[in-house]
Formats: sequence, structure tokens, C-alpha cells
Amino acid sequence: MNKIITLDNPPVNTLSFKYSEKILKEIEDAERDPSITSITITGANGFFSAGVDVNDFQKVWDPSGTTVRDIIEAIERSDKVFTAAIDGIALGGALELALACDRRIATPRSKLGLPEIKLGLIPGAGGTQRLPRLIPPQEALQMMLKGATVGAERALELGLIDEIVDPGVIASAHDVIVSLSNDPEQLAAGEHVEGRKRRVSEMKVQLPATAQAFALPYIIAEAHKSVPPEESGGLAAHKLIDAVQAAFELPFPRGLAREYRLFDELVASAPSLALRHLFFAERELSKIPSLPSAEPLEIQSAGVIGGGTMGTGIAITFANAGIPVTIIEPNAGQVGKSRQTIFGMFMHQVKRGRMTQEEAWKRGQSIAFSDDFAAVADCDLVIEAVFETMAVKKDVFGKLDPIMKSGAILASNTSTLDIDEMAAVTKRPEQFLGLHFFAPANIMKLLEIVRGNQTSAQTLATAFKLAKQLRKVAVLSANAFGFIGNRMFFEYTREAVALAEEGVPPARIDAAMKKFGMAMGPFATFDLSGIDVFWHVAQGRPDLELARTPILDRLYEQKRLGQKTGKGFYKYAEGSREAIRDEEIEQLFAELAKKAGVKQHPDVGDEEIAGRIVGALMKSGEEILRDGVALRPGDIDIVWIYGYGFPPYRGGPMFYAQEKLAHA
Amino acid sequence: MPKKSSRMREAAIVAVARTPIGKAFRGAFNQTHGATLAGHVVRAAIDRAQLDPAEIDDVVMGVGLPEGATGNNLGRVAALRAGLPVSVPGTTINRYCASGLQAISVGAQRIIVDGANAVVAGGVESISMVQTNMNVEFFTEDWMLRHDPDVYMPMLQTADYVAKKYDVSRERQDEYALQSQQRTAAAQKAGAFEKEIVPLETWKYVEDKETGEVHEERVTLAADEGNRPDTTLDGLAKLKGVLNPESSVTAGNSSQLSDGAAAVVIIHAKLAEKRGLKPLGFYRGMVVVGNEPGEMGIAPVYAIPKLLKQHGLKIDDVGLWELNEAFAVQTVYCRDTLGIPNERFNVSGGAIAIGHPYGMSGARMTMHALIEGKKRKAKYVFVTMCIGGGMGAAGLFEVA
Repeated sequence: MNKIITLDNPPVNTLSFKYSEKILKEIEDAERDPSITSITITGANGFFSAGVDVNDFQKVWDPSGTTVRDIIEAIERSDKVFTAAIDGIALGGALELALACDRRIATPRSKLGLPEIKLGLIPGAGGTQRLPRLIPPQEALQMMLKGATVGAERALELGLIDEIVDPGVIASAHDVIVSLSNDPEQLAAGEHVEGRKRRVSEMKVQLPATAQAFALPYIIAEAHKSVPPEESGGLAAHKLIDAVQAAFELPFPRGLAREYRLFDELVASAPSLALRHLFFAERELSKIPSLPSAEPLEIQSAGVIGGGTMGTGIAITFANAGIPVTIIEPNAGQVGKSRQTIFGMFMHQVKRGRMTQEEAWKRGQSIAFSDDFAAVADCDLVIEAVFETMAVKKDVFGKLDPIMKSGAILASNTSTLDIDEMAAVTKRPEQFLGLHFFAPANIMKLLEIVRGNQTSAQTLATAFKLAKQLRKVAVLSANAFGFIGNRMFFEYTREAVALAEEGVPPARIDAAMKKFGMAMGPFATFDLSGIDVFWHVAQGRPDLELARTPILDRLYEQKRLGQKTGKGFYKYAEGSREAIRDEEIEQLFAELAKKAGVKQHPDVGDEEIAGRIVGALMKSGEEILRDGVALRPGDIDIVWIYGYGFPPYRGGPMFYAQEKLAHA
Repeated sequence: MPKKSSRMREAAIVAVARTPIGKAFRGAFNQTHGATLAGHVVRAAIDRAQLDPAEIDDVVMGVGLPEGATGNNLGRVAALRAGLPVSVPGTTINRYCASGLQAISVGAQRIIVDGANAVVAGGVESISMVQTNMNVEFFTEDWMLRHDPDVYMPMLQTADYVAKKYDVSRERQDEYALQSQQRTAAAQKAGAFEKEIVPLETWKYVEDKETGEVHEERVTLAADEGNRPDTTLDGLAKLKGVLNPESSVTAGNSSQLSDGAAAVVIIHAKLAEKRGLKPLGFYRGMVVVGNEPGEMGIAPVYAIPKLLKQHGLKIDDVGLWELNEAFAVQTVYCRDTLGIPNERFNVSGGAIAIGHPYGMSGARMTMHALIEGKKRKAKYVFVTMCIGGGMGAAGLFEVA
């Protein structure tokens, strides 16, 4: 008799500690029943299972309680035939459970993967030992290193599943079992079908046919080289490679012990704690206390005012999400440039095999151009991305508002200006908000949703839903100068400039911040964004002092505007983006500092540099929280991770500072 | 004794370091790689000598089973693992149980003959990781199996053969084993190994005997873990022979399977003087003599007189003896045949109590002989052992 055990723990059949206990008991009961000769494990609710519950690790991780490891060990001990009948996603611990079965079958829509690395962990229930035994080890390693999921077809190709079956996954499992003719009578007679049990643990890791055994160290070493250093976000990756090495070199039980140990170490590691913090912070983002619940509107068409870099990037984002978009751009030359950018971007995707030619064509076609505001009158949403001055923006909304259909949402992509002031020129302040994309808009994941005084709950709900469609991570900000990110960025650069005024060369400051893990140093960011941009912002807010010295004025006067003029805080060779240290800048800082009477402390260490700059960030973040600009510290962290290249393995400036204080 | 000319280069041992010795298979180092063990002691020895790692001209490591976790020219691997610059070379030496002593001898020769200034030499063994996984494909040769098969004879068989042929009684073996345990216990208590040992933190695996379940545990080994201070003659007498119940060779009177590494820094004596480094002693010479492979255990009785003669010494001129306790049977046979006084002989016990990581032992015994010899005001110390395949080795050092 075949026993079906269904994972049914809504919504995604999470194998929490508690639920694992229940499944373990079901398996143990079945184990004791001699009439049961085979067990099929499947899932309800349209999923196999999303794996273990990350919440369980947030408490003190105690592997001595019942976990998916125990379920898997029970399966491993059993002589009954186990089939994993997968329909939907099977991730993490759930795929590890499937790997412990004798067979795996899956429906075409199924997705399988071991994404633990994304949380700074490794598979910790035998996955690192079984996957390399079941599929080509290099594929297994890559799959786990990337935390990638594979579809059923690829899974079959890899040997991860035995068969793709049509949606009647249970019936198919039954067929598989019948084909193994392990009915009780035959079993009682001792007639076992050869290969009835197929424990992955008993397989040997197969080196590729082209590799000799002595090439193994080279393969493993190459893997170590391919990931970032342990202290720069690569800790889990290196431990994963250690675990896979154990799969090659150690007998299964020893390899398993190695994996458990490495996993348990990682659960307590700082990078994993940081990544798990971000995982939960991201989940919280759309939870807005005190906001009445509202049904979001469907955005089926969008307009973008302005075909510059930002407007074009926003339009591509919509096209990628399948939402037709119209760019309003009166300048024919700019339209040409924009078209070229769009074409180039889609061609790049085709070249890299991420998109078919046909798909690229279709998406390109979904972006229209017009020089007439009337062309967007019927759109559900219009975002302006014009020059960053209040007068220009007000002018745009003043013209747009009267012609737009009722109920349409208007949004500004401003990075610093007052949303309410703009909303005031329209008759729809409830349907007005800020949608602050980050450049390049089609790549950067962050979207700041800026809530005006009168923005309605429905408009906000619509914005959050839209963000999801656009595959952006949306963070709510109140309407305040610089919102969350740029206000903090202001403090970030201010501290960097302060250090430079004290005699630390900008190149050293950038190097220290890169060592800390920032994607880019503050001065390189100045040069990339354009010093004029900062200068303009500074002009608008004379009350906020960026520096004790007039460094920005000088650079602006000298037309040292950054990469675009070949000189900024660095110098650049013609046509190159490679920043070259420029002693002229160091001299300029020294002169200005002398005049301003800034004391010189050039001998600060890398850690102190990073400490001061991140400290300034945290201070600014605390102000932002106090002023109610951001809802939660976690929201701020997400802004800095997705918008400013803060290293995820440090959890964001608020988390990092708090951890640092806790351990000081 | 050869005349010392004023121009003759001398090899001085200026620093020593070793891991504690772990029990094989169930002990602390049961999955600690040979490179980890060796790298640890190479680094510690250099640090103790306060030398710039770049000054090391060679790293010579002895390994009894130079394959698997102690393969891949472990001398070179150990140098890199110790964090020495790539410019420092390394080599691996094998003479089975004399590998560690042979490595020191080669290291000293590199100084005396080849003009090297500083060499690290020593030995390492991971019986846990290698002995049960040996590559035995094409291990033997057909001609050898017909004509000289004893070269492949397991050591236990040779010990049993020696016991029978030379009539060494079970009682003499057990008495000696007890002495080894007692002397080691006393030495441990007196802190006689402290100057040698550098503790090592590592992961060991622990297997539940009943369930077969395995897990890994963080451990720091700071002292030799194999000896049994509570050993009694009665207890030893109860043990059955390993090969068969009648055999007098038991687990109690044989050396223990174990894991560990040891290294010494040898430098040109003039350089030591210049740097103000105090040598522990000087290398004076080494001989190795072959005998019948089937009775390899008694080979020191040929090696020792040869080395003594070369240096114009007599048994009594030697203040301290370290003779490797591969088995009590060959140890007592060698001691008593040559008439070595028991009070100068293996004064801190030996491999029966402490353990015998094959490649390490020669280096461990050398450092212990120098440290203990100094304490006892010995001028000359001997380090000697039997060697699988039918050989005996002896090394002579002069205490500084």
C-alpha cells in the first residue's frame, strides 16, 4: 500500500519546527505499519513547500528540537520507497527533503532550488551532500552558490528529477510505485525489484568525464576564487564550497556532519544575521500603520514626462513589466537619443540571451513617444521626470492636471523637492505622490514612494502594488527634504568631505569605503552623478551646509563636474571612467582647509574612516526616524542596500550601527 | 671524533615546536589535515626562533605515509600553510618511522654542506586520515612477493616474530610498557613537555558507537591525550595478543596509533651566535643500517654501535637515550642487548604511552632529548629507532 503524506501548512507549506514535528510523526506512524510499502510526499495549496521557516532561526537555533533534518533522517533510515511528488515550488529544506526520497517527479510548472545562500546560509539538511551526488557536482555547486531555482525541464536534464508528469502528480506517483511492483505480497516473498531503493546518500559524486581525480583540488580552488572574500560577503559561499568538498572527499555521514556544523556556524554568523534582518525588513515594507486598508487600482498604462536618462529608464521599467508607456518629449533630438538607449538596452538583453528578439521587439513597441501632453490624458499614471527645479515641475503638473482623466494618478520623480507644493497646483492631491526612482531606473531596485499630505490610502496601495509589478523594492517616505535616501546621502557625503578637509585624500576615503563594502566610494559617486547636481541642491538649501569650505563652489567654477567633464574629485583619461587620483584636489582641499582653519588629521585608519562615515549615516537615520520620515530602521536599511550600494552582508546602516553598539 | 676545523659549518637547533599528540581515529586530530598540523608547528618554531620567515632556506618534512592528507610534497605545502613566502621551498622525506629524524639530518646537511643559513625540519603523521585510506593499487611487486616478501610485512607481525625468535617474554614487555606509562605520567605532571607543545584548536568528528551518528566538535588539544597514567601490570596482563590470543604483543605493549607534527629550526651556528640565539644543541651525525625486514625491530642494535664508533664514543658517554618504542619487545631487546642503562633510557616514556605518529616521532624525540638532556646535564644524546622494511637509524646530538 502506498501512503500519501501531504505537506499542508498554509500558505506555502513551510516546514517550521512545529510543522516538522507533525510530518515526522506521520512518517514514523507509516514506518510502523507493515502494510505500507511506499510513501509519497506531496504538497497542498499549490506548492510543494517553500522550505523551513526563517523565523525559527531568529530564536536561538536549537537543532536538537524537531527540524526537517529529523524528517530526512527518518526517510533515510526507512526501507520503504519514498517518492517526492512535486507540484509548484520546492525550495530549501523542502528540496532537501525531496532529495532524501528515492524518486522525484514534478509537474512542468514546478520550480526547485536551494536559495539558502541568499540568507548567508548553506543548505543544512543534507542538501550540500546529496545534490552533488545526484546531479553533476559543478552544476550542484553553481546552483547552490547562486541560490538559483530551476524549472522542471532543466531539473530533468540535470537528473534532479526522474520524470516530468502532468498535473495529476499524485496519480503519476502511484504509477511510478506500481511500476516498481513493490506490493506487499511480493515484498513478503522477498521479491524486490532491483533498484527499488535509490538513496542519494549511497551514490558517489561523479567527477565530469573530462576531469581526472587529481583535478579536484583545482576545481574546488577555482570555486573559492570565484566568490568574494569571506569578510566581504563571501563567508557562506566559502563554507558552501567546503561542504561540497566534503561531499567529494568524505563518506556520507561524515560529510553530513560537516554540513551540519558549517550550517550551525553560519546561523550565528554576522553576515547571515544581517541578511536575515533584511529579509524580514523587506517583508515589512508595505505594512503602513495607521493607514486604512484600500483596494489598489490596476495600472494598465503609464505616461512619463521627459525623455532624458531618468525618463527613459522609467519607461523601460514599465515596458519590462508589460505596461505600455508613452514618453512626452518635445525635443526631437532627445527623442532620438532616448530611442537609441531603449534599442541598445533591449539588444543587449537579446545578446546576453535573456530575451528573445521577438520579446525585445514587443517591449520596444510598447514604448511610444509624443510631444503632446494629450497623448497621456487617458493613462492610469503619469510620472514626471523633468529638470529638477520646482518651477519646471509645477508648470508640468499645472498643464497635466486639467487634461488627465479623473482618477489618474500623478507622480513626481523628484529626489529632493516638496511633493505637497507640486500637488497644490493640481486638483487631485489625493492622487498625487512622489515616485522616486534611482538611476539607472531600469536597473536599480529601489523605489521611494513619497507620501504627500493628502495622498490617499488607495493611491499608496496602488503605488506599492505597482512597485511589485515593476519588480522594485518600495519604501515609504514622508515628504521631507531628500526623503530617506538623499537626506542621509547628504550626511554621508558631508562626513566624507569633512575627512577630506582634515587632510585625508579622497582616494583613500573612497578606498576605505570600498573596503567596508560600499559599491562605490563617496567621491566617485560625486563624480558619477555630477558635481553640478550637488551644487544645485546645495544652492537650494543654504541652511544645510555640505562643507566647512567652499569646495563645491570651486569645483563648479572650475567646471570640474565629474566624469562628464573628465575632471571632478578625480581625473579621467579621455573616454575612460577609471578614476585617477588627482593631487590638485588634495592641494585644493589643503588650501581651503587652511583658510577655514580646519585642523588636519590625515593619519586616520580605514576603519575609523568607515566608522565616522557610517556613524554619520546612522545619526541621520535616527533623525529621520524621529521626524517620522521613515517608518522603521529596517526601511532605512533597505533604502541603503538597494539604492546606495551599502553591503547587504552588513545589514544596512541602522542594523550595522546597532550591532556595533551591541558588541562595543 | 672528527676534528673540528675552524671553517667547519655547524648546524644548531635553536627552536622547537610540536603539536600535542592526538589519538588516531577517536582523538582530537582525527580530521585535522596534515597540512594544518605541519603548518602549525613550522610557523610556531619559526616564531619561537624569532626569524624572519623569508630567511628560511628550506622546509624538510618527514612523513611515514606520504600520501592523501599527508601527500602532495607536504614539506612545500607546510611551508605555504605556515604563511612563509612563496620563495621558501619545501621537500618531503620518507624513511618510515625515522622520517622525522631523517628530515632533521637532511636539514642539518643543508646547513653544513649546502651553505643554507636556516632550515625548518620535522615530521608529521595523520594516521587517522591516511592509514585506512591508503592507495594499495599496484602496491606490491610480484618478484618481491616471491623473494623478499618481508618488506611488506605488517609491523605487528615483525614484533611477534622478534618476541619468539629472541625469546622476549610477555612479562618483560608488559613491565616495560608499565614503565613507559609511569614515566610519561610523571613527565607530564612535571611539565616536561611544555616547552615543546603548541596547543592546536580544531574540529574533530565524534561518532556515536550505537547509532553511528556523526557530529563535529570544536576542540583545543593542549597536551598529549593518549597515555594512561592509571595503567597497572594486572591490566596489561589481561590484554590479549593482537594477532592471536597467544601472541605476547598486545595493544598495551605496542606504540599507539596517533596524529601529530613536530618541527625544529636549524641554523648555521655562526648565525645563531650573531643573532644572540641560544642553541638547544648541535647535530653531530646520523647512521642508518639495514637488517632482515622480518625483524626490523632490532635494527638499532646495529645502528647505535656504528654511530658511536664513528664519533669515538661509548655507550656510557651518552647522557640520554631516546629509542622509539615501536613495540616493547624490540625496545627492551635493544636496550638490554647493548646494555644501555635504564635510568638514561626513555626517561619520559615513549611511543607506547605518548603515541607514535610515524613521521613525527623522530623529530619529537630529538627535541625532547635536547630539552631533557640539558636538564640532566648530558653532553651527548642519542635518538634511535627501528624502521619498517628492516632498518635501524641513530642520530647523535650534542647538547648546548
